[in-house]
Amino acid sequence: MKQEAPSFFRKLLKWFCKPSLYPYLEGDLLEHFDEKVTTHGLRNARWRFAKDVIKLFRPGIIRSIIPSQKLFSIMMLRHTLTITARNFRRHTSSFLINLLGLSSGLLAILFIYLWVNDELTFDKFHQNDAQLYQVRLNFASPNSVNTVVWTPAPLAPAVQAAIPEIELASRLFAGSQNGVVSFQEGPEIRAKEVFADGNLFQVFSFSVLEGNRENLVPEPTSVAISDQLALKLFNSTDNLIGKTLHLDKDNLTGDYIISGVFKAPPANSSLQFDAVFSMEQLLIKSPQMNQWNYNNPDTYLVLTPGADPQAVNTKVEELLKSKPQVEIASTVTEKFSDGYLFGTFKNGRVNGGRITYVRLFSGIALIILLIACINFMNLATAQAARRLKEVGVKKAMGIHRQSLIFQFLTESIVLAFISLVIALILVYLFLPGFNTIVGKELRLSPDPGLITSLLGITLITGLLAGSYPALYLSGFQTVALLKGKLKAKTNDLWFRKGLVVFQFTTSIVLILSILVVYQQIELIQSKNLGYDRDNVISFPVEGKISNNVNAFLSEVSNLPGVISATGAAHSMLNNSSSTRGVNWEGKAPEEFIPFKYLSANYDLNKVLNFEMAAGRYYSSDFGNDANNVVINETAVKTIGLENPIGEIINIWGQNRQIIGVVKDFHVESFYEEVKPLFINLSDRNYEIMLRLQAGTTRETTDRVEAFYKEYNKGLAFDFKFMDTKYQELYEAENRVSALSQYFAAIAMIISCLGLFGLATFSAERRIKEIGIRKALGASVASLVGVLTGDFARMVLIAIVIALPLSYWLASDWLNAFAYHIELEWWFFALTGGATLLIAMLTIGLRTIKAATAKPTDCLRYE
Amino acid sequence: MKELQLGEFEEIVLLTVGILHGDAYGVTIRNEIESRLNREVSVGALQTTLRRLEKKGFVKSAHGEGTRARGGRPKLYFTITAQGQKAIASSRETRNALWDALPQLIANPK
Repeated sequence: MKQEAPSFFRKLLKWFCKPSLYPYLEGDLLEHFDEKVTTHGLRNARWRFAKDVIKLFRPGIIRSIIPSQKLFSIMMLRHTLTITARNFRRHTSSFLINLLGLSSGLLAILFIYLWVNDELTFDKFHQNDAQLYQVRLNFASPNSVNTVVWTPAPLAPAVQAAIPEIELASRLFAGSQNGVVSFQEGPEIRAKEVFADGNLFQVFSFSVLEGNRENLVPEPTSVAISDQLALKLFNSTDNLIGKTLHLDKDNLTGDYIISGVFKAPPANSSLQFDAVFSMEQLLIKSPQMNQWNYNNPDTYLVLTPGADPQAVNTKVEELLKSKPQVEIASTVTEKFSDGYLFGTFKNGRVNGGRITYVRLFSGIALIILLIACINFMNLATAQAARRLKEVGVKKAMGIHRQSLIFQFLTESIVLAFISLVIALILVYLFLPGFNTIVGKELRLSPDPGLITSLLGITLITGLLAGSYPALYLSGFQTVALLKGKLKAKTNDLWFRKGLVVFQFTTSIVLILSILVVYQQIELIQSKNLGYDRDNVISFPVEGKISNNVNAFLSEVSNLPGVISATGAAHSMLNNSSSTRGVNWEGKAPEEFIPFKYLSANYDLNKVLNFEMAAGRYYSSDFGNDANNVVINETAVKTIGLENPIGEIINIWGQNRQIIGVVKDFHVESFYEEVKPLFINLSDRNYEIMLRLQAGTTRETTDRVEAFYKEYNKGLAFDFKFMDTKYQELYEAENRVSALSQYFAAIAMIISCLGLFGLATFSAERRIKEIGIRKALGASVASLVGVLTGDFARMVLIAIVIALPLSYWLASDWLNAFAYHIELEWWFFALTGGATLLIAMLTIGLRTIKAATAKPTDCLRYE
Repeated sequence: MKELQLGEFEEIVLLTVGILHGDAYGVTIRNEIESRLNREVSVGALQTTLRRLEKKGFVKSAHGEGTRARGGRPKLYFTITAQGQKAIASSRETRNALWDALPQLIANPK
């Protein structure tokens, strides 16, 4: 019987051992094994062999990871770098193409990295982050579920007392209008104030400069202010505790004593406020808010470590449902910091949010980098012929394949790092512009996270770009190399063509998507909302105006240039007030049909220029309109009225006669369809709207401002044009559209660069063929045809693949909008045609030059 | 003096290479130490120590013949160098000097 040492361990030794030691060591081990077999038996000997091999796995015995030790010597590295530099110099055009491609790829990825990183760290800086949750309520309506952050005020104290897993519960309420704060005779400042529990700063880690962190607003009349507000009011942030601050805000107007100063929340916090007043005070002044059926403040929970948020959510839901007045469908307890990226809810569940854009742009960044890497791969493999002699000689001299791979990888990594430097300079130059587009304050600061990611990304880029050429070039047979008898394998050709097709497919998809996004945004911004939002300004009701809105309205509408003036309780845009308090004859009592409503003053129709389908709008000429109502066309359809004027419906328990029907207009974003709506006549207005004479808006706003300052002494006139506000509604879409245009352009440029490189190379390689064809009488046109045919085919294939793919993606995106454009055939024709044209121009530039060259130049013997 | 310093195991290996005189290679050194000192020696520890001694210039190695039992693999013979001899001598001197300084009571425990 043959007595064998365990072969696995022999192979293992061979694998990790230094080649210079291996034969001796194996010999020793085998000899020892032989001895042990006779003295201790086979089992024991095999066991000892294995043990010895494993014990040899230590520094000094293990080979270095780099194949040959010489490789790492400075000499070898210098040699590689020299060759790299010479190659760059010799093939300047392909070097520049690669450099341009890689640096624009890195540029795109850098920008996107900065943006994504900022998005991902949003709201994550709180110490309690892992345990910090926010409660949301789901309300069911017939067709959908609405998820809101507003919760009953008694909820937080109740859950903290009843549920042991909840360590802290805190309420935060920010009204829709800001009050005005002042100190003695100092300036009056419109501060962003919130009403919160004293433990707010225990729950969130905003830093406290002065005061008791555990309870920053201990008394109902306490107030804590931010350092920024303190500077504006007192020119100092020190020794402010005990000073008295005056707040001017409806029923909360009064004097408050400063009990703390905190640092203003950082830019990457979704909670932003200048002053914190006591929740108690709000509930004392508005006791109705302290009922279970009033949903106002946000509720934040800090759970005990290890608590199951799902279980806590169930308990919160049970507690809420046990209150007879509460009519919720369910509750959602989501991590607070997830709310920023996952803030969109559908049917009561998280359904994405900003994370969609984070994913989208990360994807785009990867694709662009990939396209740039493909350029490098393609050019390097296509130009393999130029390097054949070098590789052949090196191989003949006995170079390891690993060393060759190392050399080519070094080359691509060096290129990647040069590109990184260029990309960094460009990022530095364009960062301000980028910040304007994305609306952030991103900075290129040398923090360790950024540096590691940068080096990582660049290294990976270099490795990715260099991997295929390195393996390809080092894999040839020495003899074939030196003879120059290199036949490109069909596989390689297919691979290269496949890469080009991939590049163009992705570019086309990007371009088409951008075209669709652009068209959709155009539609939204130009679509007739049903009212005229041009030349309308709005500003909040404040100070003296709130004493008598009607008096102010009549005075301001007399100013020259002001056509009409009105007030409303809600913003016209993105209005989310809805009620179930509308009933009519024939409506089943258990049927819940929510109505949107606008509480507005007289003349809303004149300010917004909306048309009446029937009847009239409220008017003081007709006496008291308090028992009348104006509804929209959808409401007429919902109720099912044939002749609406004069019919009676019941609103909030009061019978009202319909006096007018307005044509449908949008009060929500375009994601939503128009809902049934009624307009409630009210002079409890929070927002003033003025229609100005077109063409003189500038002078008129100055006039209104002067009037306002006279009327409301000391208050800043803070107005906005309605169309600007409207555009802000679609800020996210606008930003995505602007950004993606740039990135699509980069992708297209890189793809064309690659194509240009390949065309150049192909023209060079076929120069003899061109010469002969010419000598035999081929025309320039037919030569261009011969040279471009191959590339045209690749681009065509890409178009064929890309168009259905982008159709599918675009229709998916558009379906999210209730009102969207139709995908027209010409989008696809335009994109496909443009791509083909750009590609042909790129190749044409190069091939025409080759085709018009003199045949003698082409055919001369070098 | 410093370059002549030896660790405990280094000293044992160096002495054993000297004892084996001309027949010192992996297997014999290991067997010798195991039988004389009655302690188990792992190949890993032995090989790294040998490399270290070679680096310090206390031993030198030479390529030898292969045998059937070794699967035809060559032996790597180690011989002690002049520097190595100095090192063991110096190590012995240091020990002796220390022993001489030791009080009688402790040197011969009853």
